[in-house]
Amino acid sequence: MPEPEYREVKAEEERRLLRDFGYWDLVAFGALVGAGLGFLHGLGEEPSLRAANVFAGMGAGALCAFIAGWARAQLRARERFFTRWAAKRGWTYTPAGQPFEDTPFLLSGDRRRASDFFSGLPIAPGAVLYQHKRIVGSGKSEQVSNYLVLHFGLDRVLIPLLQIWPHRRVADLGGKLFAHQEMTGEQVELESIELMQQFRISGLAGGGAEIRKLLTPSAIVKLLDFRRAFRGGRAYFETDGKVAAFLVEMKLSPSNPRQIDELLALWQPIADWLTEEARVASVPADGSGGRELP
Amino acid sequence: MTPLQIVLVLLACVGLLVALSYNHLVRLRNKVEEAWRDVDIQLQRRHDLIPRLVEVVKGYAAHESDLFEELARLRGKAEEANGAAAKSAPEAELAGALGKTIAVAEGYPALRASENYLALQKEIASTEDEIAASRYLYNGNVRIYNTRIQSFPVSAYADVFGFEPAEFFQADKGDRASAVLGD
Repeated sequence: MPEPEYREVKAEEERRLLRDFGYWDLVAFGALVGAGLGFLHGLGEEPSLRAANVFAGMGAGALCAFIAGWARAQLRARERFFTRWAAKRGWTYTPAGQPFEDTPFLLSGDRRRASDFFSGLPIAPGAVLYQHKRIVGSGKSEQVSNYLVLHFGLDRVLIPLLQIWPHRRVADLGGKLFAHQEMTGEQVELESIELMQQFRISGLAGGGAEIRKLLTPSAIVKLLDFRRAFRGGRAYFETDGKVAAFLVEMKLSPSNPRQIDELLALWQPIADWLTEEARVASVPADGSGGRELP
Repeated sequence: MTPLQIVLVLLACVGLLVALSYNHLVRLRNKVEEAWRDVDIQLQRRHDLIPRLVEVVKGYAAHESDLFEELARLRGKAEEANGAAAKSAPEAELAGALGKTIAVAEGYPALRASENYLALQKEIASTEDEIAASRYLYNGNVRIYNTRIQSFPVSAYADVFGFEPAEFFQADKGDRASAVLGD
């Protein structure tokens, strides 16, 4: 089965829409409703203007119905494409669902929305990739940030909380000056200058020793490799209890689905490291109880 | 404002910048030392594994005594060396000899099947990975620190405050052990 092309799926959906008798019915109905509203609006006007109101209403109604149908076709094309694209990889696609809210970053923001769920990914057992929307404020001051999230479970609690967030120099300075801390826990200093230039690392108060033990030099190198290879926006890594979440600031687009493959390839070594650490800790080779971890 | 006041304000600003820069350099130097301690811990792990490897391999390949003696000699030499630059060559030689020992051990199917050997091989592989990673981080820190103290205007006063360039830890031949282990 060849790799599906979004352009083809979109064109196919648009052709279907134009052939669809119901679509033109909808446009005609829109024109009729618009004409009716135009007539009602023109009742108070001079007779010469009434006809103009009817025609304007008719045009606006037809246009609204046309755009609504077209937008629906685009949405259907997107869903159909992602379903085929995921099936080609042996994954499952679900267009809508509830956002995960089980790590501090996933829970942040005033409101959250989620879409485009991909499950059955081979990167880690039970892994789900989805589009997470974080909304802060409302009305004109509303700010929406889009994140692509990889969410998966660990065999056991590796560490109560680990947050690896990107440095945001202005926000960090503001935090220092106004004693406002965006991250939940206590910040930890590690030996790599480059890592500390790229990320802020924190855990629960007093958890620095566990974080230093977990973030071995090879784990730090994996994070740096990711940071160098990922040319997009900000990247976040979190583990909270038995949950791990990797996020990047990015909007999922069906016209460039390869970004998912590329991102999963970059995340893979870090996910392998975390799952292996949790597996080694929980399933000892000699069955004697495993490594001592919190 | 009189010219003298202007000069004093400028001098105070320069003094403040130098103080901030000095603190930054101290932090960078501490990071370099911290990263070196990590490398040293990993190298010590490698040294500790060598007698165990020799013990296990000896049981199957006693006639390879030259190789074991060479390994012990290189281990001693590597332990005697102090500092990143001085340790580079002996550690690289030791890693080469370690790789050679593992390659020899691979020629004995009974040894390859031994659980002790397999566990040890896994431990050596993980230690070699950690050595490579900690060396990479250390050299990264050295590069950032050296660039900082050699760049103007810091270069003008770094020497005065005793900030000297740090040494890189080279490992041109040192990855042979990892290569034999398939990393």
